[in-house]
Amino acid sequence: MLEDKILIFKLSRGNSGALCRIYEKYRHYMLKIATALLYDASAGEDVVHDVFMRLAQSAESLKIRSSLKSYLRTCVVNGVRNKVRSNEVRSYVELSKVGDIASHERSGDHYCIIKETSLEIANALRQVPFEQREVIVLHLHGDMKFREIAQLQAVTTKTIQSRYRYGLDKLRSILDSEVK
Amino acid sequence: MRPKDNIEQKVNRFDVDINDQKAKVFIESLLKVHSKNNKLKSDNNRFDNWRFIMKNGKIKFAAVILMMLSVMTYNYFRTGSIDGATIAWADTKIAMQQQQWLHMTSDIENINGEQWMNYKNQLYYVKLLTGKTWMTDIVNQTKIEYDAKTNTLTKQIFELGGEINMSSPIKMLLSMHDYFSQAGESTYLNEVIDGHDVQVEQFDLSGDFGIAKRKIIKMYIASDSKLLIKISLEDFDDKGLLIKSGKAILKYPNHGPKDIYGLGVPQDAKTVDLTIPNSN
Repeated sequence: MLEDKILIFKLSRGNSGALCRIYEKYRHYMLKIATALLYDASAGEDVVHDVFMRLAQSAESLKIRSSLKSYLRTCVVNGVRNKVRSNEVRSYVELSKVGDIASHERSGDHYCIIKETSLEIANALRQVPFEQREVIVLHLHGDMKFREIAQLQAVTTKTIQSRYRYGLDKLRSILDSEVK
Repeated sequence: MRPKDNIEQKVNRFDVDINDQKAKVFIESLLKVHSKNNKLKSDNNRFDNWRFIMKNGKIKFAAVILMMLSVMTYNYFRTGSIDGATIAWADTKIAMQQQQWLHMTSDIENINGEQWMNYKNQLYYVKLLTGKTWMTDIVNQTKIEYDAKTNTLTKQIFELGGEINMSSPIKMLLSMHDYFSQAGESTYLNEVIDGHDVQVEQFDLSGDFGIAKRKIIKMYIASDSKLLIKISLEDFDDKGLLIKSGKAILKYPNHGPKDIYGLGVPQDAKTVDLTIPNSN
């Protein structure tokens, strides 16, 4: 996209307006991915803010070979993986306690919160193994093809398709059991 | 058992809310960090867009004209000020604001054909000689494209971004003019076209524009109506030989196409509406 190429160019020339525009344009997209992967709006917010802070710090030396969108998405995924590795994320939450967490997050006047209507699916996603969850979220929210996710996870496209299928099956069974 | 798509839809509906006040605070701290690390002169930023466009070999020749029109049209929609531009530009903007339609015929590369812009309803119609036909509704952010091979109209969401919305169209207009003025000599000529007096602003740009080393861009403004009526471009190589040229003729009719069928699309064309979420 021409606008993104110009934004990258301007950012590398030190233009703060370009940084603001990138933030405005992609923050929601990035927060959705990070929060869906972590089931924690605060953790998702940390990841996204880190990405933008690094972008601000390294703007001059920035060399983006892919598109801006995929660059930012990869940064978010890497940030999420680091958080998961360091166990900084909230563990599985029983559905009965989801409301408590939601109201706690809302009461704190947070930067980002999971929409009330999304809490059930967010909690179900949390119970899906991370590799499968990553495929589901990146495919459905990150607009990524299975081939691209395969490159990211360093496995074959068939493996990604299986992870996607198993992940959806797991989600379905979690949601079904919660309904019962 | 629920169908697979149902679960995909549920995941798709996952969303977050962002607190705008908190976002503002974050932007402020982001900008502080950025300014600390920013050692480059900001003075140059004003000209960056156009320097980039003119120097980027991948960007088509036709893009220059599209950009000019986009800027002028978008500027009209936003009704901003163009303080600092030449008097001719200011008059031209006022004159263009009074028009209902813009019709453009061009013989330039991939915009070879006709285009109409409906200022009042913010509709943009294109019919190229290649057969490519589409219309864009800027208010509703939708685009309808006709595929003659399959006799199908496809309606989809059009993101108001890309080449039209680049942070500030008004700044872009100014920067375009400033860049042309800085990058090369700007001269004013008087010509007569079809018996009408025309003021021509000519930019003679030298530099590395891919194969081209020199560009001459002319903007023709009718002396009486103050309307932009023609844009022409010429590219020259390092030996001074003309390697590419093209022009766009602009008119301001009272009427234009009522809808995409007004561009010659058959009434029996199938319609595929991708703006409606898949309900399967």
